[in-house]
Amino acid sequence: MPPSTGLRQPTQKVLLQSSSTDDQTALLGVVGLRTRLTLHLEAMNRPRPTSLAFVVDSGASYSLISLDLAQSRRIAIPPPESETVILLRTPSGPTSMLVRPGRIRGWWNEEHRGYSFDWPVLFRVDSPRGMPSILGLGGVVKTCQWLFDGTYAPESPYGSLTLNDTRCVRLRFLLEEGEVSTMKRNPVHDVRKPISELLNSLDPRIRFRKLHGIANALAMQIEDRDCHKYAVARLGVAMPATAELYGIDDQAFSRRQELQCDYCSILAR
Amino acid sequence: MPHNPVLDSPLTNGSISPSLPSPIPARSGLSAERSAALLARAKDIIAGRLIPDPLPESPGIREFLHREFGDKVPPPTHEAIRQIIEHDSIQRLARGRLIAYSTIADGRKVVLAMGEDEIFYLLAELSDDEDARVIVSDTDPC
Repeated sequence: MPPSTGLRQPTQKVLLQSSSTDDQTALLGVVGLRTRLTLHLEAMNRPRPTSLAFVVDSGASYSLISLDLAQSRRIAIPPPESETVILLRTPSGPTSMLVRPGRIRGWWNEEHRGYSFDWPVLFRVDSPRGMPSILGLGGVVKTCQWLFDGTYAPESPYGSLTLNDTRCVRLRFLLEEGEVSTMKRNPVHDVRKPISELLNSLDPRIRFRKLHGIANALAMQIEDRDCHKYAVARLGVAMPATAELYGIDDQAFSRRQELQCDYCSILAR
Repeated sequence: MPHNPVLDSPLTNGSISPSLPSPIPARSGLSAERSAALLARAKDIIAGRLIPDPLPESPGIREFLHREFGDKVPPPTHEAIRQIIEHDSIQRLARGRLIAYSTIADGRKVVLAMGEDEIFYLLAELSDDEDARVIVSDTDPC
């Protein structure tokens, strides 16, 4: 587990619930179990997140939400042009569904502590009524750990699911917090340092938010180590271009070509 | 118009009838009168002006729990038992439909709307603050 930090979301524990009736249990000889996790998701034009319960499904490849339901909760959804048909193999046989691939951002804690998760999700078009929202493995489980434990406990008779945030928090923040002062120096830090110093001098941050936004996007692309080199290259171009909007002398970004090369060399490692 | 125990019984948190069908209303299913009642009830509950009674327990749920956990030492906590019974009651009430619910001051879940028609109408009419206190969930088909 990575070291604890206020930047990660706190560990969450949810109870396993019985999903079968008394009659079904007697017939099948087993109590069906399932667990639902309430996520508080960022919504468009809403000051506070909107809440949606997801069935946590370790057998699901993707996360899935009804498009209609997402719209009713004002979750940002991709345009119709992104619609695509996917083929899935389910216990009831192969099936296809029309989806729009997108993302959700949110928290699993009501207090919205820590950085929001940013997870891929498929918005299902024309979903059947009553369709559960599914939290699947794809793009999710690499950011958090799921531990299903069916051990009896007085407060959770059917057991529980414990979720741990395992994201690698940005090195710069960890260094500032002194949590990883003995960690081996990351070459990315050296490359980003000039840009970070420059951006930190541009206060108030809210006034230069476009620049800070690009810098953050750049940092995440590189530090997560699964970035796309073209995305990085274009962000490198976007930064000085945006600086012009603020009337910042291009001289301040004179090293941009050199820095871009440095970024790309790191990507190639 | 299908019978809706949540709407028809504003002072309770729904009711369970063995003969209750589980209709899924048509998309155009909500009359102006029912819509107004649904919205008023939801707003009152969210604001704490209306505190519905608990849902009635499903027949046999206590015996089921005794069979499941009667031999456990220590036994399940009262809160765990309350949550299991509440969950069972809500599942039997909604029978596979989506629900919109809010958690009230004593920790109970109160169903505000069931099915896409009611839920989408409700969410469109609630304020931002009210919306933030509503959770939408699926239920298990019983």
